[in-house]
Amino acid sequence: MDFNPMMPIWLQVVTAIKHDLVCGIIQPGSKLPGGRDLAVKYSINPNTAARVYQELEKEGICETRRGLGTFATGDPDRIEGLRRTMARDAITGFLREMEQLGYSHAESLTLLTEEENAHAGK
Amino acid sequence: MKNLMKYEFRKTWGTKLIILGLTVFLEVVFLAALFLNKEDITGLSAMLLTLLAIFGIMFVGIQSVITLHRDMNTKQSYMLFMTPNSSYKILGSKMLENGLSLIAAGVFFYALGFLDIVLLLDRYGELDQLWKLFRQIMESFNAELELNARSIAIFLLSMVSSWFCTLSTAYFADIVSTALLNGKRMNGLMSFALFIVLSLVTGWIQRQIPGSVGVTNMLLIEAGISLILSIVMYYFSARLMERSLSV
Amino acid sequence: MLESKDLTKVFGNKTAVDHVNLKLDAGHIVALLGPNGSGKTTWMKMVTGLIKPSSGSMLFRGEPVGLESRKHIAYMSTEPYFYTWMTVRDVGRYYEDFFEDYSAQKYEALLRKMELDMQMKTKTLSSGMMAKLKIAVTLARNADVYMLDEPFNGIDLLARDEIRASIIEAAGPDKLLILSSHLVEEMETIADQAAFMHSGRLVEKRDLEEMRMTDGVSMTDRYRAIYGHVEG
Repeated sequence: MDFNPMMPIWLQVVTAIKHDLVCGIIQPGSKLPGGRDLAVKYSINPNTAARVYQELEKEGICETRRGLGTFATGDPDRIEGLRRTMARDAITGFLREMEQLGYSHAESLTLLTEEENAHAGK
Repeated sequence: MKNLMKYEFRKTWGTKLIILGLTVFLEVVFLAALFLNKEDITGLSAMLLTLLAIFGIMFVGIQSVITLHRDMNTKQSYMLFMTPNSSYKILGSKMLENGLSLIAAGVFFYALGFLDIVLLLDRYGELDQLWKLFRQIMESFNAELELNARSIAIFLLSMVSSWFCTLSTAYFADIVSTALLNGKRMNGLMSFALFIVLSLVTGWIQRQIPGSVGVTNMLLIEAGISLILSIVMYYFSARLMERSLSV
Repeated sequence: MLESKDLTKVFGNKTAVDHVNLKLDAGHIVALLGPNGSGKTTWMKMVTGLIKPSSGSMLFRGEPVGLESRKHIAYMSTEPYFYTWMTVRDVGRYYEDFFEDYSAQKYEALLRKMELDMQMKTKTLSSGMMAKLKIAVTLARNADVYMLDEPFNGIDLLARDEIRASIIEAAGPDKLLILSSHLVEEMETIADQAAFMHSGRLVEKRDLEEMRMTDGVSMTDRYRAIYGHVEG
């Protein structure tokens, strides 16, 4: 994974894991790699990896079961909530970018519909 | 300690092998010439073997100092000084390995020489006369020279302790110059110069023994002084190495 | 775990390490950074005792470094240092003979990862293979402190990933890893602290994630900021 070295690494890994969970790359309820394995997988510091799981656990995205390991949440509501949040973030980001380019929200919506039609037409 | 000595030996194994190889080669030539009655070659190879024995033993002795110098002045030093071994152990192992190698070399060449002389005498009986003459000459020089166990033992003791004194002087000189000059180019020269100076000093100390005590006693006292000097220099070498040597 | 107090080393008229006060705790991977001649290597060598300080002290667990500390500290220098007559196997045996915390199994596993063979002679190794060998034998030890001086030098891109993984695996809450490298970017994500040195002095020591959160700069950015204006 390519990191932006100017931003906290733990945050970027948290986002990546959330993304994988929502997209189904990580199956809900599945076992997540141990702290050290996570560190090796993403080539990050073990303390950073620990922080990642700490944050995810705080947000309820994963839970550590004594002696068994860390597991991704299987709660469909929680995952759906996460999906929504990430979608909203994507949309906000899109709109902000379009604003910078000089498009109003209404214009952005029109362009979006146009683009979608063009896609469907293919 | 055993491990340190093992690696000291392996560091010097190369040259020892060369000396051994040359000796074997010359020995084969000697034996061949002897049985083929080629007197000239027999004599030549015998002489070369003697020279090889002398220089071979000398080199085995000096190798220890060369190895120490290399160990302190090249990157190889990390190998030795990163390990959790005290300088006392390190120097001690070097001295022991040196001692054992010299004994081995000494015994080897002595046995070989003895064998060769026996063969020679067997072949050329006339040499027996030469041997008798040789002994007469030796006896005329020093009436006290009894070839008994005690005097041989004292003689050997004196040789051993004098060698150890030389060795520890060389170690001390090398360590002092390396520690002082921090491994700059000149340190080989300085250590040699320091070695000469220290040797002269020890020689002077030895000469202070009055000759009136007699040959054997003199040898004993010399041996004693050599041993004490060796120990003192060993101790200070190791101390300096432990506290002030940077590689 | 490791602390240098007012540590100074002078070589002739050059002060290589200048009154450095640096305290490093276990459980971290520290990037020791600075341009050539900043004193990083000299500082590390004073931890192992290969170089003796001119003044000040170097402490391991509160005690001055020496015989005992060498048992728990593993140092990998930039230069090759194995005896020329050794094979890869001999190097492992040497470490086994002198270091109690050495694991032959770990060595074998690391050699396999680095694609090195026991029979190879150190004399004939390429610089890249020698670099890998040094890392393999150093990490095969179960030390409390690992100091790797230029672990990425001369190593190809893919092998660097392998080495980074080995470094992460060697880390632990009771271990201190110190990495020094010119390839600052290679250490960006695996280090969690950075100590910057210049002209023998310690400029600063930072916690990296904190620095990213408060200043929004990477370790590489900070490196450029510190040394950029000094070098004309």
